[in-house]
Amino acid sequence: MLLTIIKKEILEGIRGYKFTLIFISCIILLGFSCWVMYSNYQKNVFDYKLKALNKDELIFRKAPSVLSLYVKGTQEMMERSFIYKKGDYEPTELSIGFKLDFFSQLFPSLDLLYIVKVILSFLALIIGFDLICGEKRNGTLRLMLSNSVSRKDIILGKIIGNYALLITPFLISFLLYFIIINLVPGVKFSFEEIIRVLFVLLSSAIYLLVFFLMGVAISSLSKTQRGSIITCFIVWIFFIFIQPSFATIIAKETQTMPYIRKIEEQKQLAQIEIEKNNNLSKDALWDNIYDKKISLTLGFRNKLNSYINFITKINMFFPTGAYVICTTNMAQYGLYDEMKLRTDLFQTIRSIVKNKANNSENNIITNYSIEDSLSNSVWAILVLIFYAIGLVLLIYMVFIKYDVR
Amino acid sequence: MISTIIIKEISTILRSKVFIISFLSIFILSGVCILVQVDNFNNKQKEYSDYLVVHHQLINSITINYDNSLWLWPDKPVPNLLMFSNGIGQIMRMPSLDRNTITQLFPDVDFCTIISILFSLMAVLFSFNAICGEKEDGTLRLIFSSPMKRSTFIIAKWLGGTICLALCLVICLLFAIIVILFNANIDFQVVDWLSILSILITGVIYISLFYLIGLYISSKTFQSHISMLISLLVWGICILILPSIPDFMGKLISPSPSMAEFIYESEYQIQTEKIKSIDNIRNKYINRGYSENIIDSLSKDEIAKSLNEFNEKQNMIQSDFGRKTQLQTIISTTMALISPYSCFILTCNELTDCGIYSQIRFRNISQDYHSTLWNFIETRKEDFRKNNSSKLSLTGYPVFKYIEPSFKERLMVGGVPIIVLILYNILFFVLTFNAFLKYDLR
Repeated sequence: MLLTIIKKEILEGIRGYKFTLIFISCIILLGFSCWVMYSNYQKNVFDYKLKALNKDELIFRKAPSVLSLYVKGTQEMMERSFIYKKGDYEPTELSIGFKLDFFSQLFPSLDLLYIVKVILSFLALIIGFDLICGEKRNGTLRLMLSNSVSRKDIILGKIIGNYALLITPFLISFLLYFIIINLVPGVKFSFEEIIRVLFVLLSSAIYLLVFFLMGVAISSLSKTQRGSIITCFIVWIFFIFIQPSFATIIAKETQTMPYIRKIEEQKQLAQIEIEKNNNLSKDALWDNIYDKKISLTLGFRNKLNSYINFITKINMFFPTGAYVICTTNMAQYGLYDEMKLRTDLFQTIRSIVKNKANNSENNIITNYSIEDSLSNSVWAILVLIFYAIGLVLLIYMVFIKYDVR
Repeated sequence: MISTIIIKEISTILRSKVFIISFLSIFILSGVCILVQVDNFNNKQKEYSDYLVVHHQLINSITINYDNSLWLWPDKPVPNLLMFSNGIGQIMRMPSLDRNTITQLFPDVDFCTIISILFSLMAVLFSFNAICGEKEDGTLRLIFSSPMKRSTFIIAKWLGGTICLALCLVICLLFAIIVILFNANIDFQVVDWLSILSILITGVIYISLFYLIGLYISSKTFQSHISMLISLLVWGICILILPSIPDFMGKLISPSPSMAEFIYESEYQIQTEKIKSIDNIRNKYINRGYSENIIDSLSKDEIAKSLNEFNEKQNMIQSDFGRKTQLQTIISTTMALISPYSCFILTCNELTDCGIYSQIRFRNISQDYHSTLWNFIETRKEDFRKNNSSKLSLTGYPVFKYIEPSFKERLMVGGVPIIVLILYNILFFVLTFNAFLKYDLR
């Protein structure tokens, strides 16, 4: 019986306008996103190659990964160029004071993460919002229940059938562009990267399921179509736009996060203060300043890291936050990856300073292995699954008692 | 006649249950948002004042050997209306490795963004069945059985809906102002009040535009569920997709070199060329058979000339880079006018002094200040060397005072999007009017 209902839902959906809408928007959006992200990736690769041309300087820059075609995450922060000159205390960023492309900071860029997080979740709600109250309005729900079908079968059939309608266009267009992008010269996915992409895809699918179920739940709770759609969008706006700033605000109340520039100026101040006592030898002076600066940096960094950890943990409890954390971690552009990059760079410079050697052999910035990335994002995936199961139970409970008259 | 219909329209909307629910949710969401933003503002202000203390200490303790001018760049004070519109964050003139990356993944949402998303959605949701819904109910035929002009009806629909939503906007804004006045340590200037007023006016124009879009779609379709789907689609395209495109299109139309490329070209490439050309000049003399110690004096002029050339070249690359990125920004900003949402955001950003032009303005101001301060320190150093005093004294150094742009300046840059919004309004009004005159009532 369940299969019949699923089949009916799918057949009905394919002929409807919603399916066409989703298919067209997936094809256009993902294609455009591929184009945008590919040009972005090309630019980053070009910049990275430039780094290799300066052989006399110690320049550090993370190699762009192909996964940046799908998830941008903290890429802007991670793919900065740092330079370390002999005698310096710390690496400094190369491009200071010139940042002029202000416009790019105003609106989000169109990567897969944004498309799924904001646009496709919106479409998922549109699919879900009149699944039950719409049928009730048309009167078909009564007809359906007058047959010998259990309510459980109806609701499950509806969920599975309509979810298939939502996810198939997404998967098909994703696969299409994945094949196309693989044919482009210069883009090559290794086996590990394909697995990462699969995980990104999996979490996207679960995330869309959660939003779709949210729509169905609201639909079964509300009586009119219009009330259902307004509730859906208010919930959507809350989860997408407002909830992420909650975490920041709670974190700011509990953790102290000093202003970065203040710390930098404190370091300078410390340097000047130590240089004033010039009764030390040159090397000892340098060591003194270095130790002082490092202790300030480490103090700040610990606070920053615990702040980031805290926010990650809070965001983990909400579907949007969990999804963002999971995908960015799997794509190696997450908060933890950025933290690791900083630690690695710091250690590298430290070893160069300690050995007083100036060879770029030490220029090692390693990425998280796939196991580590997974262990960083497994909780987020579990939270998403938990939401999905909870919502299915809620829908079931509500629908069992639903007044079909 | 028209006022009667407007009043009828307003009272139906105000009495509907959906309106009350949505108004309450808008009120709660924007209230939460403004509370979060006020807290954020207070934090930022505290950070800024803490930083100023350290900054003052640093400048006062500068010694004679100190030649790092990076720390003399001023930092932009927190704008008074930050909670209304975050815009572009502060420009970081810091080569630091550690940065707060949270906002990259979880961006802060400001009041203007929230109200622009919520109110446009509400405008669309209230207008999508204004005409085709009434047709489905059959009330449209009843209305036109009485002597009423179609033009009166459509104008009344538009004004009634817009007035209702504008009322909500006023209430939300008033609540926001009350929260700000009670919680933030801030005193609003005349400029700020005028800016808030202009945000309100722009908001009303923006709401009216979305209401008109909904009405237009409604008068083009005959079934309310199709009208709703198309309205939501248009809304989604305007708010979620269109704003992200101009950045890419700007880069496509007028590509500018990236930062790494610029630094590579302007520094490393020129450096290597410089060394090469100096070697060439020296080799020329060596080949002619001059001895090493004469060469230096002989080739001095030629080397200076070639160095000058390289400096000019470097300056050219720099100005070229600046010009290209500026052109790109202009193209992107112009293209952003396609979407009403980005129009509204651009205006709000400029009005609250966080936008693109205010950042460019701040950069110019800070460059001036930086050179003034550096010159001041240099002269004090000269004095120190002449007088052989024991300590370099920098008392009375020019303190950075940021003068906020006047209201006229803000309106000059933020006014263009407002005009575009008004033009859109006129366009959609004409379209809706036309479509409704031809609407089949049967």
